[in-house]
Amino acid sequence: MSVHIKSIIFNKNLPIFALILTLLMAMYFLGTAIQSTEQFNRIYIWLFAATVLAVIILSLIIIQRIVWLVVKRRQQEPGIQLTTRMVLMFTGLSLPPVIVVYLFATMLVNQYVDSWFDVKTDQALEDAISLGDIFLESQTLTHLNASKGIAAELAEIDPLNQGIYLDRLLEGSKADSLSLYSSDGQLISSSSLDPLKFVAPNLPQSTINEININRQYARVEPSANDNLQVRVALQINSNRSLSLGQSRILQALFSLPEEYQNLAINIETQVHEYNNLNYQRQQLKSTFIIILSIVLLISVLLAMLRAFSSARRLVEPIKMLSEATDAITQGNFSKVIPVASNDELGLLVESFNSMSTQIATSSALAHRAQSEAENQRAYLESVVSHLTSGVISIDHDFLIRLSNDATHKILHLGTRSLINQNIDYIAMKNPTLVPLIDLVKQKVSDKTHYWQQEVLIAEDSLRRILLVRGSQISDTEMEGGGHVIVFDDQTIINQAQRDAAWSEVARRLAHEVKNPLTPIQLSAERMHMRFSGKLSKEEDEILDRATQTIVSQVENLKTLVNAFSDYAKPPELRKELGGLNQLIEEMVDLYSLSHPGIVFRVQLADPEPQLLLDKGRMRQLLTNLIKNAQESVDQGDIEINIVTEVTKDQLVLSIKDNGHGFNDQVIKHVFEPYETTKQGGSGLGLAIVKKIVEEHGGQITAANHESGAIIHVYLPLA
Amino acid sequence: MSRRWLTIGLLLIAILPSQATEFERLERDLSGTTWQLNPQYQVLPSGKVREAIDNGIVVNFVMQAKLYASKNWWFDSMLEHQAQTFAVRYFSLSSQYQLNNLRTKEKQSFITLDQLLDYLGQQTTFEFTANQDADYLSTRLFLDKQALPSTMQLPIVFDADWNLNTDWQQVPLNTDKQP
Repeated sequence: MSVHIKSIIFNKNLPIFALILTLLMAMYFLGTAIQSTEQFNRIYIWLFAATVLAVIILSLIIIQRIVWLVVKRRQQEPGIQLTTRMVLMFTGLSLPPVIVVYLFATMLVNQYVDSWFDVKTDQALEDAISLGDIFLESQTLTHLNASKGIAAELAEIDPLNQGIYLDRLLEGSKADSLSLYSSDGQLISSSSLDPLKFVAPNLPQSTINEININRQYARVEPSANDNLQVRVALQINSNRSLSLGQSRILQALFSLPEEYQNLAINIETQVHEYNNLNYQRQQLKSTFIIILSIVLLISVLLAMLRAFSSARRLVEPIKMLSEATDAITQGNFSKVIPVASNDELGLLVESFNSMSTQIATSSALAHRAQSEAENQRAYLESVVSHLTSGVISIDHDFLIRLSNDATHKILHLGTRSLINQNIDYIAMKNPTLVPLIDLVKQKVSDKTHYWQQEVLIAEDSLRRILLVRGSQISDTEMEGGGHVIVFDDQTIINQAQRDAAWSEVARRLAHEVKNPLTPIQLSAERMHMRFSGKLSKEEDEILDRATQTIVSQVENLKTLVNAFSDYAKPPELRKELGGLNQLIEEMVDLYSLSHPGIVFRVQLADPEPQLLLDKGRMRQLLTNLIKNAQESVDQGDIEINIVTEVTKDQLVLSIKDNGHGFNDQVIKHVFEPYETTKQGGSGLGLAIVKKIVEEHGGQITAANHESGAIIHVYLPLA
Repeated sequence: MSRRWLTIGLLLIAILPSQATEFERLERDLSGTTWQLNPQYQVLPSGKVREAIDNGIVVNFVMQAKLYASKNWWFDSMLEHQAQTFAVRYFSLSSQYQLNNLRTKEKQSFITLDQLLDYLGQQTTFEFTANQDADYLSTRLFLDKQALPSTMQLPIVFDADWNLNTDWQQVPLNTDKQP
């Protein structure tokens, strides 16, 4: 109940209803006021003003609605077309009957008001007035003559006694009262037929004025009780010698006979009312027409208001349906439209709510499934991203569906995503990977179920070996099928295996070769000592030369064996904090003294960076590199540039020569044992250098420049 | 330029109400403890008003009188207020005009309307208790349009011919005090 009352109190249309009610009440009172001159006369103009104000407010409300309609039409709000049509329809439907009623009512009012008045009535009333006038004039004349007789009698009486005679004269006359006044209007004496109700009549100044002119006054006039009476006033000139020159005024009041009085009052009343209405005829018509016009205006305005209201009621569910549809389109399935009615629209809204609920349920299920799939995918991606092996998944169109971080790292591809890129994109980004891509494409095209193969990738001085494994995913396992490729960088492992093999070879070679060398040398020297001088001169020379050759070759073999021994089993490192500058300067000084033909250009980092170094091994590194540079120059001056510089957390040592450089075949294996460009070289120099660098946690690269080779050594700072 | 001002002036003359009722003076007489105050007006009705009265329309005139005591820096205090309403009616049969004082019920007949209005404007007296605090009398006379028949009220709202109102006239009562 309280909710119902609240809904009424807080209804936004309540002010409009109140306005309409006020308007209708004002119209009712206006109609009443026109008919009843007494009851609403004093508030008539305020009622009219209130009505006009209400009409203006109603018009403003309609204008506001029309402006709203125009704005909404421009915004193309859902349902606005229907609203416009309904407003036009209501207005169009209401106008014709209202206008017809208005025209007929106006005509009827004119005819009705005019019917009150006609010539015959006018003439009859005028005749009645004329007749009354004639009658009243005769009455007046009669009473004037009678009054003159009374005045004549009073003139013969001593003025002092005139008052006494008034009663007697009144009895003999038809007057209601007789009064004597002085010439200035002061009452002297008065006599009345009914002394109990008698009130001394006054003598109007206008009467005195007329007596002064005409010596007499006789007129019919309305009495105090709105009856008619005849007032006669005459000047009395006393004939007594004592009163000569003292004039008095006699006033006699005569009421009309009862039967004539009523008739006269009736005529007066009817003439009064007729004249009154006749005078107001045009104003009455105007007022009726104004009120009818207001009624017409109110009818049209109310029809338009009703049209807006009905349209809003009809369009509101449609608008809400449209908004809800938009919401569903945008993925908001929780939109529920309140069912405001039990009609067809209400049924439609209920159906829509049911549909949106079902969609919401289905969407929730799909969302949950999608979420689970996403979680699994995220889990898989997380696992894959943590793999050290590179993983790529491609479909039959060679589009990459999945790749992990290790892929970018191993294939040196940068950070740009590979997802949805063709696999050729990898080759385009890194052309050295063409063999890998060709292999993958071939295997995918061949639909090989499982395969494994090493691929050699040559990047400048680096040779990398990738172990590539592929597996086909069938259509049953994954929609569309595909291929998974996993690859690992085997370079380090292979290098380590190769290094280990070389070390084993070197160790065995040193062990197997070094042991017989000393007996060979000793045997050759003993043989020389035993047979020297005992042979012919020619044979003795042969012996000397042969012995010398054996000894020198044994020395060479010892040197070679020692080199192999060093490579196979290097001495234990003794790292200490220090700089490389002093070592470089020592080596340069040493070489400058022993090889004056070498031109050194040294540019060392200042301040000198500190490193953890095994100075002995580092001297060996510098010796090998300088020696290599020196020996690479076939002819002309030898120029060796030695530069150290600091980049981030590394010291870069660059040794550049003007020799013949590395040929293309050698540069790929330059740091492997037995790779040399020199005649008689062991091929262990740069292999040992690389080993020393790696022992210090650094890296080494070799390259050619425009006139020679350049070696870069990267050593970590302490 | 002058023609424009002339037009504006003529419009203003047409719009502004003509002063058909004028206050002339205040006659006062002290009788014991009573002031007899007689504000005198000259009432000159327009032809439309005369026509309406001659056609049986009862026209009411109201004369108001207020006694005030002046107050410095504040609104003046009204000590007493009186009003007399007069109904003017024409009787066709007797061809006389009747002046009916609705307060005193006193009725008087006049041959002409001018006589009636002259009497109304000159002879209306208010009796106030003599009050030493009273400084001035404020009075006015107006035609009560709201007492007219309702059908007449709307058309005459802005009709200057029906505007027989005077402004409030303030007349000092004591010569030694200013209103």
